[in-house]
Amino acid sequence: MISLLVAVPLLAAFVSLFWKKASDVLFSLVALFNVIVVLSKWFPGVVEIHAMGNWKPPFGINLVLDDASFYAALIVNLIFLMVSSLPVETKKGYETSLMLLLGATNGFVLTGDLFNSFVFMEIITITAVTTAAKRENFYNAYKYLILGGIAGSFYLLATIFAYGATGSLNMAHIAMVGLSGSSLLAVTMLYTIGLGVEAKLFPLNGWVPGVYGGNEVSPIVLGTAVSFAALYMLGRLFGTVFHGSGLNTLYVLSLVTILTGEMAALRESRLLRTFAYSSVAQAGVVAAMISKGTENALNLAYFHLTNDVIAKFVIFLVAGFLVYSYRDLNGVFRKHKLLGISFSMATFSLVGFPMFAGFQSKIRMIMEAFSTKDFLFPAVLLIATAIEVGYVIRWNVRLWFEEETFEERSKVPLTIGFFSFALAILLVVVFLQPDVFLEGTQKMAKALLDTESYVNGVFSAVKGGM
Amino acid sequence: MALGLLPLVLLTLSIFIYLVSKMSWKMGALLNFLAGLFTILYVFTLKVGTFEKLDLFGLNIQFEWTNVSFYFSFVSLLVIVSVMLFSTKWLETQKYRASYNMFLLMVTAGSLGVFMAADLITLYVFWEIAVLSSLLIVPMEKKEARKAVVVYAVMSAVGTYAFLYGTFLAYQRYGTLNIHGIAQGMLNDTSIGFKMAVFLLLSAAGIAKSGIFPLHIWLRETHGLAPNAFSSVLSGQFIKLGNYIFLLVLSVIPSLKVFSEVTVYSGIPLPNYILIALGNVSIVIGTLMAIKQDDMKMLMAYSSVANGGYILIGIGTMDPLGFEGGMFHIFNHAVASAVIFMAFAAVIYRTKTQKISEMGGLIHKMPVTFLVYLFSIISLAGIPPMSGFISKWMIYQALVRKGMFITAFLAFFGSIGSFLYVFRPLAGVFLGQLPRKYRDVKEAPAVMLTPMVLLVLISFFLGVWPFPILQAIEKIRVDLDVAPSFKISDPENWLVKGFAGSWNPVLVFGLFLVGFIVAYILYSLFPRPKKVDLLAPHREEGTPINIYTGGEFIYNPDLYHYNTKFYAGFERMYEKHPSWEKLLKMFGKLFHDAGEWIHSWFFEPSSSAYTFWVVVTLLLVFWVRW
Repeated sequence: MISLLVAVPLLAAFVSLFWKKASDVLFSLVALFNVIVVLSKWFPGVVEIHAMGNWKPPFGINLVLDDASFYAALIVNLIFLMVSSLPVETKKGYETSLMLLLGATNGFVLTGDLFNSFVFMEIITITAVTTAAKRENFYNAYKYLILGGIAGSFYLLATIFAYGATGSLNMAHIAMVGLSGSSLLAVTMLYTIGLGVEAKLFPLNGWVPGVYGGNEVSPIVLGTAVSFAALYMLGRLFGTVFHGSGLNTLYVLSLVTILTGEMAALRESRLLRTFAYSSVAQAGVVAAMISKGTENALNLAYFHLTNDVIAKFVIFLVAGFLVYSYRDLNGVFRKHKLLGISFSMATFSLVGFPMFAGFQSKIRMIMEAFSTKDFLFPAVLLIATAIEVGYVIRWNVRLWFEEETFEERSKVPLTIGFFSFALAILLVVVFLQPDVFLEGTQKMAKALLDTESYVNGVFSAVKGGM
Repeated sequence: MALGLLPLVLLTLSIFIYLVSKMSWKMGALLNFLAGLFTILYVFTLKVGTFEKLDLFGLNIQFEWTNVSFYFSFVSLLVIVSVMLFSTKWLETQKYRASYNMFLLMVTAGSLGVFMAADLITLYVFWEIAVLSSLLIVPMEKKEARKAVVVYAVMSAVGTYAFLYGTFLAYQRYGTLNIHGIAQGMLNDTSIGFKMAVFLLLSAAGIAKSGIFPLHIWLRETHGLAPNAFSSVLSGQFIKLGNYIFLLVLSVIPSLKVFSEVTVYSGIPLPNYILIALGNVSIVIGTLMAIKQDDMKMLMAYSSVANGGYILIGIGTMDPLGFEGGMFHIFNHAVASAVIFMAFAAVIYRTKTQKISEMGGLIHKMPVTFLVYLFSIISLAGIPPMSGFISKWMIYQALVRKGMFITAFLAFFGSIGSFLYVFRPLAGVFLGQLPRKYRDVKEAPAVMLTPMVLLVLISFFLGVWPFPILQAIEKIRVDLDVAPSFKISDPENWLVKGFAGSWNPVLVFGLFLVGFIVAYILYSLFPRPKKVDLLAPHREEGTPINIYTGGEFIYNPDLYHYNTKFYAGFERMYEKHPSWEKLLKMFGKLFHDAGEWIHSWFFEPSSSAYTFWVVVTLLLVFWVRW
């Protein structure tokens, strides 16, 4: 059943190559189908697998659905559903790539095999590069391709070393057998670099502003769903498979990511690129929390990531629409009050002002850090937030209050207005009742750290054999 | 109605008022005013000592209504309700009326929440709500305000986040966020270094918000460029949030007992002394910079810096007279500052300009505005019979008694300086010659005059009969255990006690009244000055040229306006002063340039550079970890 999440989008993508006129409808249908399938498996609690070709694990590839991959798949598919409902001009000509991306992201999140995850990561890279090339953003897409290819090579190298050390490619099997000593070191470091490019760690994140700032569809998809998948994989690999080793490097890299991302955002004068840098910094925050390795830390990391993904969706949606409808953005929110209110609410959530979801995640993260006697992370986070206040307020003031040059008011498509406002309200609701997300991320964190039940679940849920 | 519901109800009401204001802004402003009025009456009915725990937003929110809460809420609401009444007419000059109404009420809700918070997280939540709402009002009117608000936002963020860090540092050590719990924890803690760190981090929020050196530079531009009536709120009420933080760290957390081993001078502990030193510098900077300003509002913004210094000094001495003086000064500065800014708003409403050099002689056209401004500056300068005298007198007494001669000298200097700088707008705007273009200016509308007149009357009444407010402050002081056996106010005998004896405020007022009556009698007996029409020779042929003009034929009497650079000689003495503003702006630029460097090295270059960074990272990581 869960393999349908991967198979159906892939099939639809191939079909749409021949039946181009229907690709938009196909995309919406496929996304809807995926969401329904995911929702039907609400928080399974136990580990469910689908052994491909009925080959018993650890032989053959298996897809794993536990609480953690469920949550990730849910977020990814919901985002793609929203993207598929966006107006046609946003994604015209790119629906095939987006469907492939949908299938590949689902595969990446659900897979239980390292080489399989490499394959899906490569598909993600290629389709993401294609999507990034919209609006003639060729140079930045090309740079992303090169960097993504290199990242893929390191990811593959890490997989090969893991295979060489343990004799298996199956995540559960490797978790059971365990790596040690220098092979553990090599594998974790190479995975940090390989995933780090996708997870936007410093200094591997050079591609981000060019790709996110290049057109209106790539940040909405790449900055939200794909980032979530990459950071999920970070938690899965370091939490479940490697039992929490190799995390120090991740911690240091993520702290530097946070500060450099925010400082680079401060000087940026283009709207989409500013919030691309903000994505980098927030990915750093999430990675820093993941690198702490405790259940509560992971819980808060993914809670923060969910809040960030929602806020970024609103921001990139509104910004993408405005940047390509108006030449001059000064005072543009006076023409579009609803979009402006949603955008402002999302940016305030990003900063962590009370009344919005970001406050809940930031406060809890600081509390958690202090309770583990980590005095550095809260200081870095608060300095980064102070810098964030600077550019968020600067942009809000410019977009609301600056004198506008006269331009015709573009009509706002209904879905853009609806989604931005609905998600902004969701941010307020999460502030009032954070358990809406915290329950889910709690289960996710537990599942990520519970190597034993992962291993048992994979090996016991066996159908067929060799 | 439960205690905690008040700020929450006001918050939801603000959204409703936004919608109402979209239809009719007058209705919205009126509703705002009624809500404020209701709140101020409700605040009187709240019982002291009420404690409430709410499980809201997944956090443990604790509210407590103490004497301190009541005092601060009363002062804040007095200013805010006056401004709300003022705004019902003034808002017609603004563009974003609905948002203004909404955010003003949110500022009120946030402030009330801060004053009733019993634990530091609740305080932080409501603090941020108030700050965010003010951030959105400041850029509403003027173009330059848009840059100023970013500086304000960042400096406020620096103070607030230092406060947050200190809060969690204390939480981690003492296990509680409740203010009394932390006070208890600090009393039992022996590590002075840790306590000092927490103290300084917590007071950073107060320093940033009250505009104390070194985080004072945002006040000039923000208060100066905010919408005029809102500057009243910023200067009169917002600063009190910072003062509240100082009260918390100095008195509610009893700094005398917590830091009793590190007293520096005359029984004052080291951290208090650091704050007093910062207060001293603020007084000097505020006074000297205010003397220089041409823009009326920026001048008064610096006055807020100086008065913030006074309040800090008063509270920091931990002396009963100083404490009561500082607390009373909170009220006096709030009222005087609010009236002064409202008077400016009224003048600007009528004359459409903000520069002193363009005005003059408005006493003829706006006499009531002139009178309220005059009484407020008398209060601010500390001259009887206004209430400002009493608070400043108490602070002086405390400083002299403690033997703090440097601080006392600076306080006196600041007081004289304050009269210098508040007099200049008076002379420049109201006295002197009325420019021809303002010949048709009318007095400010009644609905704008009423709040100003009421506030001045309250200040005047308290200057003659300060006992109601002194009793309230005394209750606070005894509660906080600052020399509880020393009683200052004595209403039955009409005496205010000091250290060298006591004095009778009614008697002082009586002497001033007698002096005023004598002067008035002399004024009416002696011949009046004659009004000379300088343009008469233009209109009527054959009018003799007047001796007043030195035999010159005057074409444009407006050019003979002399009220601009009165203190030029004094200003020249410190003309080449080092600029703190430039230093802090340099810091901002540092971050900006660091971002530029990061961008050019890591984010901009070609794909081969990206590959280079990947390889470097890989090598570095392996080298470090191996």
